[in-house]
This record gives sequence, C-alpha cells and structure tokens, in this order.
Amino acid sequence: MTDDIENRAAQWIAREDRSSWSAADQAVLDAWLEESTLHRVAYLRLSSTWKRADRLAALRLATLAVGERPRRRSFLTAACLVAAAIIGTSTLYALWPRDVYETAIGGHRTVDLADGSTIELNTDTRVRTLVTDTERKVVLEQGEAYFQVKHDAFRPFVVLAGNRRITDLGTKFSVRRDGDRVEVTVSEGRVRVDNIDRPNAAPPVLARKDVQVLASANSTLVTERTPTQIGDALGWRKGILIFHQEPLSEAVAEFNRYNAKKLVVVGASLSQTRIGGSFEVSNVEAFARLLRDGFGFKIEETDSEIRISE
Amino acid sequence: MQKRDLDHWFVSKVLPLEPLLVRFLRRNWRDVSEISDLRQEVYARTYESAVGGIPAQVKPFIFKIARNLMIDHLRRRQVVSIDSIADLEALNVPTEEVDVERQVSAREELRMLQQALNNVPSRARDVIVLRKVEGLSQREVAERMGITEDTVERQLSNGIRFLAEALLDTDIATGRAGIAIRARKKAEEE
Repeated sequence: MTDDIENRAAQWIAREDRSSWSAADQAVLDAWLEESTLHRVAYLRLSSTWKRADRLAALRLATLAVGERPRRRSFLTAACLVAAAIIGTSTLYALWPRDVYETAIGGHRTVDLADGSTIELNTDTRVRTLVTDTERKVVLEQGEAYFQVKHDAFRPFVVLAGNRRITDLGTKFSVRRDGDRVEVTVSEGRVRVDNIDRPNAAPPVLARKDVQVLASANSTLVTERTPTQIGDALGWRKGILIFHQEPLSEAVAEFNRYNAKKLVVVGASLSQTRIGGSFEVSNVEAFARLLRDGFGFKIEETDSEIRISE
Repeated sequence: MQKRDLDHWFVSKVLPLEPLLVRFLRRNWRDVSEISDLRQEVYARTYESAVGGIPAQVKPFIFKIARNLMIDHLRRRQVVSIDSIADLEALNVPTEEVDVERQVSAREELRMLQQALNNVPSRARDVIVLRKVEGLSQREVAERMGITEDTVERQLSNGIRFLAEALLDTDIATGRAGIAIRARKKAEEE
C-alpha cells in the first residue's frame, strides 16, 4: 500500500520539478492530496527529501576542480580547496563525466585517457569522460567511437549510450549511436551490454569477438559476424566506407554522416539500387561520379547538396 | 488550523524524528516488510490528530501513536503470540535516546547527503547530480544525457524514493537521529 502511494507521491514531485508545471496540474495534485492523509504525508515526506537535496549544490564548486579551468581562478581555487576539504577527495569525483571530446562532421581524432585506454572518435561525435581511482565512465552523447580499453578488473570501463550500458570485460570495441539505436561491434575480447531503463526485463547480453549487438529502445539483436565484416564495420578508422550490395539509400545515409555536402536520392526505385565497393569517406564527389559513370544516373551539384536522379 | 501551517509543522517537527521513529518500530515489530506501512500510518494519524490542535511535545505524541498503532495491529490479528503482547506491554518510549539531539553543521549534512546519494542506483543518481549539483533543469538534463524528458522525470521519481530511504539509513546508522531539525532551521535562517 505504502509502496504505491509513495510511487505516486514521487511521481508528483518529479513532475512538479519540471518547467512545464501548470495551474491545472496543481489542481489535480491538490485533489489527490485531499483524497487521503496517507497521500498527504507521503507527499510531504518525499518533497522534504527533495528540498533537503538542494544542499548538494554546494558540491558544484568542488566539481569545478575536475577537468574545467575556472576563469576566476583565485577565488575559485580557494573555494575548491575549501569544498575539497569539506567533502574529501574520494567521493568528490564520483560525479557525472564532464571532460568533453568532440569531432565535427568529417572529423576523426584519437583521445588518450589517463588510464592508458584510447577512444577514437568518428565523424560528428561527442563523448564525455570520467576517469578516477574507482571508476571509468564514458558517455557517448552522439556519433560513433572505437574503444581500446586497458583492462582493470577493479575499475570497470563503462560506456553509456542511450539506455544501454556497455561494460568492458577486457577488449576492443566500437559503439555507434543514432538517437535510441545503439550498435556495439566487438573486435577483440568481450563486453556486456545491458538496458539501464529496464534492468530486470532481460538478462544482459554478453558479446564476444566478432559479434555485433544492435539495441533499440527495449529490444536487442545479437548477430555473429565474420572477422572481415567486423573489419568493414570499422573501416571508418582508416577513412573508408565499405558496402556489400547495400541499398543506395543506406550507402548515401552513411556518406552523409561524414560530409556537410549532402547526397540526396530522388525517386524510390533509385534508392533500392544495390551498391558495393569501398570508398573514401570524404570523397563524396568521387562516389557521385561513380554513380554517374557506372549506373548512368543524373548528378546535379549545388553548394549544399548533390542530387542523384534517373 | 490552516493546512499550510499544519504541513509546515509536520515537515519541520515530525519528519526530522523519522530515524528515531523507525528505529523504535524496528525494535518492536518483527515483520520488517511492514515497517514502512507502519511509519506512514503513524504519520497519517499524527497529522490527523494535529488538526484539532498541535501538541506541545511532539516526540511523546508520535511515540504514543506508534505504540497504539502496533497494539491495534496485533489485536486485529487472529493469532497473537504471547511474547509480542508481553513486549508491547513493556513498551515504553525510549526517552533517553530521544534526547540525543545535537546540532549538525552544513558540512555534516552535505556529507550525509553524499553518502546517501552513493546508495542511489547509478542512473537515477546521475539525474539527481545534474539536477541538484549542476543546477540543470530537467530539460537540460535530458539533453545532456541524450534521453527524453519523460525518462528524466521517471528516473528522478525513482531517485527521490531511493534517496529518502538512503537518507533514513544514513541517519540511523550514524546515530544522528533528530538532527535534521537544527540543520533545517539553520538553512531557513540563512
């Protein structure tokens, strides 16, 4: 009984905390509170907890010491020292990853982390990292990255992408994220993939070498691959895209990840044309020429796009 | 008495006694799974009794309610074991420890919050950290984590419950029952 009421009360507090809270919402909440004193006391109790947590704001100064260079140095340095003295250093860092690394469209860079692991960022990618004595955490906010993890049993390496958590079990792997869709490609060792929104809905997936895991919302697909296919999926690391008789629409979507000048396919039948071969990611003009010369398609180029039609 | 005033009294005078109350219930009630139900019932009865007038002494008031509630529950059962009756007859409000109140500094309060936060599941904790430490709005938290606002709201509502339980455990474990009154009073003055 208490469980249900507390759930409802917590939901109300979380909703109230949103910026979209309206007078109508308030009226519904008031009615719920009037319904029963048990509702009211549960609400008062949890909202008092939530207010008590406001005090956590004091940690903000402390976290500035990690990764960010404060602009007003003298004042903030002093504040950091005070904050660090108050809360101690061990828990000080147990916070959200704040070191940001990113690439623009067409970009490609390798980041060396303090623990000896490396992250290779593909085009239009953004990650946040946190490496401390007790944890290693990377948030893949968008794009694709290849991880070469220095194994450390006491300090798991965790990648968060959408609602998936990928935990390294000593390995090399890549993670690609398109909104909710998360693709994990393992080229060495093993990783564990779990759904953090619904941890009990399904057991975590253990993926070893030459396996691809495709996760979207709450479904997970595990596919065996040949080493060649895995190599192809990681072709971007060498700056190439490899297609095996894929529909033109998909090949074009891949190219468009890397280039500001977008390819546009006109016509449904055209987009089903199968394409194979390997191409330089940045040489979209060469790809367009091949379509013209090889398939006889019409190519029109403007400043912002290349239109492909029959 | 206005509901608003009553709410304020409940939050500032009754809730800070939660660690004491829960420890009292745990000691005198065998079924651990029923403790939170009992706790909330004590709160509801306390609140309703205070509608007619706020008691001068809060602690004896809620302990009496807790004691009567446990006796009611036992009487309603078909089978009551002899030793639980005996226990309840001997059940007195533990006055000596009730008085162990001490001032808690802002720094101690912060440390306790942090400790409690470490016991919240990681995703909900991340949301709370971004919301409360970094001061982002729920929308900004959603953007930062690359999840929807509804997911943020859901994680946050999980997090609030976990945080409340974790804080209770921290308060009980550190023997700092009753401290929150002072901390909050101080916070209001600041």
